[in-house]
Amino acid sequence: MKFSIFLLLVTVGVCAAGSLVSDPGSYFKQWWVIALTAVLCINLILCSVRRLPVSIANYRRASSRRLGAFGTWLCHFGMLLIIIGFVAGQFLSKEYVCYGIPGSFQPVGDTGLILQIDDFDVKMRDDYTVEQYTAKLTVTNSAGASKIGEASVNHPFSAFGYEFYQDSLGWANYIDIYRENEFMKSDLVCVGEFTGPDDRPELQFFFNKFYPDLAKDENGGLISATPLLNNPASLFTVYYRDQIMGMDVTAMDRPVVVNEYSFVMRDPIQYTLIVIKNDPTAVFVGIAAVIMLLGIFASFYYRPVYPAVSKDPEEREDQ
Amino acid sequence: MNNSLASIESICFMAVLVLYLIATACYFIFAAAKKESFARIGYIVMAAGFVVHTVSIVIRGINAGRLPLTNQFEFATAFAWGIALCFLIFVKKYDFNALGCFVAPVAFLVIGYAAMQSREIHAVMPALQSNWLGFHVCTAIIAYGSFAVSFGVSMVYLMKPGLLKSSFMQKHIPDDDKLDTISYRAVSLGFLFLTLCIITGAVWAKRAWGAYWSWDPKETWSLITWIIYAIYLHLRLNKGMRGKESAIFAVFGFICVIFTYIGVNTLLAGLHSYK
Repeated sequence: MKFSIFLLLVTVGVCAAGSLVSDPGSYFKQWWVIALTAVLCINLILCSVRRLPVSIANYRRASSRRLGAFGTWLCHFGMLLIIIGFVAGQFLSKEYVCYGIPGSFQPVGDTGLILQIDDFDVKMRDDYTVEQYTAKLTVTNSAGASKIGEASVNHPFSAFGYEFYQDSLGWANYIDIYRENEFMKSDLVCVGEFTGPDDRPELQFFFNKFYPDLAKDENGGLISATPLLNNPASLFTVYYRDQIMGMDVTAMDRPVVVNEYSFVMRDPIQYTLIVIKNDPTAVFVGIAAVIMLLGIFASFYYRPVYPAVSKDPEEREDQ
Repeated sequence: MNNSLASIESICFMAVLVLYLIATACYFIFAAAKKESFARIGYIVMAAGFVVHTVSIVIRGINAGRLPLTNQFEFATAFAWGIALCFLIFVKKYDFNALGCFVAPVAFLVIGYAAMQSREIHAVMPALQSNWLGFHVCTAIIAYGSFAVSFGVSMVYLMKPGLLKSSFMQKHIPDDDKLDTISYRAVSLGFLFLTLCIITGAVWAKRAWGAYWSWDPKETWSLITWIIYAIYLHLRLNKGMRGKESAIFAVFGFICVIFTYIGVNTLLAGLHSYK
C-alpha cells in the first residue's frame, strides 16, 4: 500500500510538471513516463489479484447488496483497463490530415481511402462569430465504394472505420507567376505555403497571412475588419536563397514584381482542414471507464450488508 | 438578447452577492458574538440566496437561449451555486450550522470572483455547442461543491481546538468522529462526480476533437485532483487515516480544486481557456 501511495504521489508530480511544458503530448511519451505507467499497471494488477479473493469472500458473506462487494475491485480493474487501453491507443491509433478547397480530393495517407471535399460552409451569425463549420465529404475506398456525409464541429463523419473531423479552416489564394509578362504557372497556395518559378527554385514567394477585409486599427496595425471579402489583401514575403528580399501587403490582382518575375494573387478561397482518426481502443477505454465508475459508485453507495455477526472489513468507523 | 431579462438577471445576481455576504456576516456574528439565532438567520439567508441564484441562472439561460455554462462568469456563478446547494444539503442532513462559518465565505468569494468577470452574453463557439456540455459542467459543479463542503468541515476540524475554548461553540460543533465522517462523505460524493466529470469530458472531447484525452492543462489538473482525492480515500480505507491528517488532506485537495478551476484558466492556456 505504501508503494501504491508513493506511485500515486510520483504520478501527481509528473502530471504537474507535464502541465507546464509547451508540448505535453511529447512529454507524456517519454520513456520514464511510460515506465512509471508500466509500474502503475503492475501495481494495479497485483492489487486486483490480491483484492479479488477478499471481494469474493465478502460477496459470499453478504446478505444483501452482494454485488457491492466488488466495488473497490471493479474500480481498480477499470482503472487498469483504462491505462492499458490508453497506452495501446497511443500505438494503435492512426491520424491523418487532409486539407483542400471545395472540389478537391486527395488520398488519406496509407488507408487506401480517397477524400473528396464536395463543399465547405462557414455559417456565421450577424456579429460575424462562427456558428458552425460544415464540410460535405465523399469518401471512397480502394474497392470503389463511396460514402457521402457531413462533418461539422462536434459531429464527425464516420466512414470505413475512420472518423472525419472538421478541424479548422484557412485562406488560400491562386498565385499566377509570370516571367517578363509571359504566363508560367498558377498555384493554389494556402496561408503558410510557398510557391515559386520552376526555372528559378531559389526564388520563393511565401504567403504569410490573409486579410479578407483589410483595415487599420487605432494603432495603425493591419487587421481584418470583418471576415467578409470586402477588401481582400495578402501579406507575403519574397525569399532569394533563403534570404528575405522583401515583405509587403498587396491587394488582389496587383502584380508583385521581383526582377523579371511577377506574382499575381487572385480569387481568395477558404480551405478546410479535415482530421481523420481511427482509435480502435476508444470503445474499450469507454467500457473500462464505465466499469470504474460503477466500482466507485458501489464502493460508496452500494455497500454490501452483512449479517449482524460479521463486519464489513472495509467499513471500519466510516459509517 | 432581451434587455429587460438581462436587467432582471443583473439585479438577481447582485442580490445573490449581497445575500451570500449577509449570510457570511451572520455566521461570523454567530461565532464571534456567540448568538445562536444568527446561525439560523445565516442559513435562511443562504437558502434565500440560493433560490435567487437559481432564478438568476435560469433567467440567463433563457436570455442566452442555451445552458449558461460556457464562460468564466457562467461557470464561476454555477460553481458558487453548487457550493451553496451542497452546503444547504449537508447542514440540513447533519444539523451542523457552524459549517457556514467556513463554507459561506467560500461561496461568497467564488460569486465575488464571478462578479469580476465579464457578464456579457456571447454566442458560443461551435466546440461548445454540445449536449455533453451540460453533463460535463453539472457534474463538475456537484463535485466542486462537495469538495468545498469537505474543505469547510476540515477547516472546522483543524480549528476546533481554538474554537472549543468557547463553551458556546462546543454546543455547535459535532465531535471529531462526526466531523471526520461528514468530510469523508463529502469527498466520496465529490470523487464520484469528479470521475463522472472527467469521463463526460473525455466523451465530449472525442466527439469534438477526436481524442478523449489530450493532456490539456485542465485535463491534467483534473486528473491530479482526482489522484489527490484517490490517495485520500486509499489512506482512509486502507491505512485508517483519520482526524487531523485526513482534514489536512481534504484542505489540500480543495486547494487543487481551486487551482484546477481558477489557476489553470488564468495561468495555463489550453482547450478550456474559453474567455
